Amino acid sequence: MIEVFHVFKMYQGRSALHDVSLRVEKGEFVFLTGPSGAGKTTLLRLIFCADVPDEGQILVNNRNLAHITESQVPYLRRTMGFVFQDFRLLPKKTVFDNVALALKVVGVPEGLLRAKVSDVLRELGLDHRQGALPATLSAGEQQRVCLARAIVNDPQILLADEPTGNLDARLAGEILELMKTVNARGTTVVVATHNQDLVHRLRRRVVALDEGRVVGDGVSDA
Amino acid sequence: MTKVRYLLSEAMDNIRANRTTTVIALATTSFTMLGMGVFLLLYLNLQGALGSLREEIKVMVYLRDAMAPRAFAELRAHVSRDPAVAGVEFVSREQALATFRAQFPSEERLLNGLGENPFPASLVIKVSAAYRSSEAVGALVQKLKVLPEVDEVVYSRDWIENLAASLRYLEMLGLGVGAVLAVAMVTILANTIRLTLYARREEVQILRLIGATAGFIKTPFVLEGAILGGAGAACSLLLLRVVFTVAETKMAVKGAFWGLGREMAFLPGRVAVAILILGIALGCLGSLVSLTHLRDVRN
Repeated sequence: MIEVFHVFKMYQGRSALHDVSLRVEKGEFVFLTGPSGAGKTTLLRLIFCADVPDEGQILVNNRNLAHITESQVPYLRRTMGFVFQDFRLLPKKTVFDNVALALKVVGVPEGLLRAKVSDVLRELGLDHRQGALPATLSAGEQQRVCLARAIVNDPQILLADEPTGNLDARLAGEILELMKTVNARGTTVVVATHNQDLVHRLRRRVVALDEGRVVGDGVSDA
Repeated sequence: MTKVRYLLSEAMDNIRANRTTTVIALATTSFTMLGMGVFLLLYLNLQGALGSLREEIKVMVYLRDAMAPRAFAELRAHVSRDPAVAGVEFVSREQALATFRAQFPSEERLLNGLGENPFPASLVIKVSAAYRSSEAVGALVQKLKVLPEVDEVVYSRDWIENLAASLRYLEMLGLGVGAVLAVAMVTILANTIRLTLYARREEVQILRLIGATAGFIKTPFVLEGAILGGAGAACSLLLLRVVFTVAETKMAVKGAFWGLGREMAFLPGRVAVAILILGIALGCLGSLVSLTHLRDVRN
């Protein structure tokens, strides 16, 4: 599903990734861990084509990202969902519209769009907040809206960058459980986090990064 | 359909969200296009007037005295055969005198003092439509001048040609001013759209992340430019109508344009539609110029 071959990336003269190789199978749940600046976000950015490696190659669904043109990037991204620490919700749009945006982009018909958004909001316990603006939601609710937007399109891969960074332990646990449910439906999940407590809540594969290098690859002890 | 509705509503949201900028852009666009409209109105009216004048181009051929009546008829027939001649009217010496008397009754004493009829017989030649250019009329005049019966040939060439030359200058000036105003309008609209783009950069980032194509992201901005350009053009046409009505009244020559005997006319419907389309096109162009900055919005 995701294959990374000897990837190097420099930012402002500093090595963000150094000879990173990695393979994530379809339906796998992987934690990318490491301290700030370890290269977790850089690796995610390369996977969703926000940047290109200086050296090495990345394959997503057997497609070599080095051979993807700029106009093909949106279609690749439609197979992925993204969850961010800062939620990245549109402040002037309601919860419903924020989630619906991911479907409008791909031209899903109005009726199906309403049904899918309502379903996903119900599943994430947000159906009573459909008309609310993001600013009126708690941090946990905002992250659930972000997750709803990421999965409403039934993506093959879910990428999450510090998804619990702004949440307390209880809310972080809730979000992790939701991602576990998404994974159980067959979606490959990659979660970048420096939160070791989160990692130890699930018995899942952990890839440890430090100073841009892979320094560990194993299963966490829950 | 969902997509189209979304893109249109986004364009309208852009306009609503930046109300002050939109009003300023609309006002400047309207006045810029008004400038173009005034030039166009002036040009089209002068061109129409020139056309009317050319229709009335007549060549006066004054004939030598002491010609036999048969010679007049032969000369008239000879001149009529020229393809540049649409019609020939013979004016006898007596007719010319009578016309003068009718037009200038106060000058009767002057004629009495002269004793005999001072007016020569003449041919009044109406020029064919295809031969109304300066060169063609000049060639006809040359042919007429060499005829032995002809004393003098007169036609209103100079000032018609001066007007034609002035129109050519006006055309060039109009094109120059129009180009400058078009660039100004594109710049104004590009800056307005750039402000919108800046205000919505986070949204653009998010749209990119969730797989929106460049077309999907750009379309609301292009529509915003088209709406602003079209609305600016419509306002400019309304303003132009007001300016036209005021000018028509102030000139106090309603029904005649600078004494050229032609009615002053507002822009024809197809020209007004062309101005609207131009406004929309310039609006789209302004948007596309500003959207070159879209690459600066990082993921």
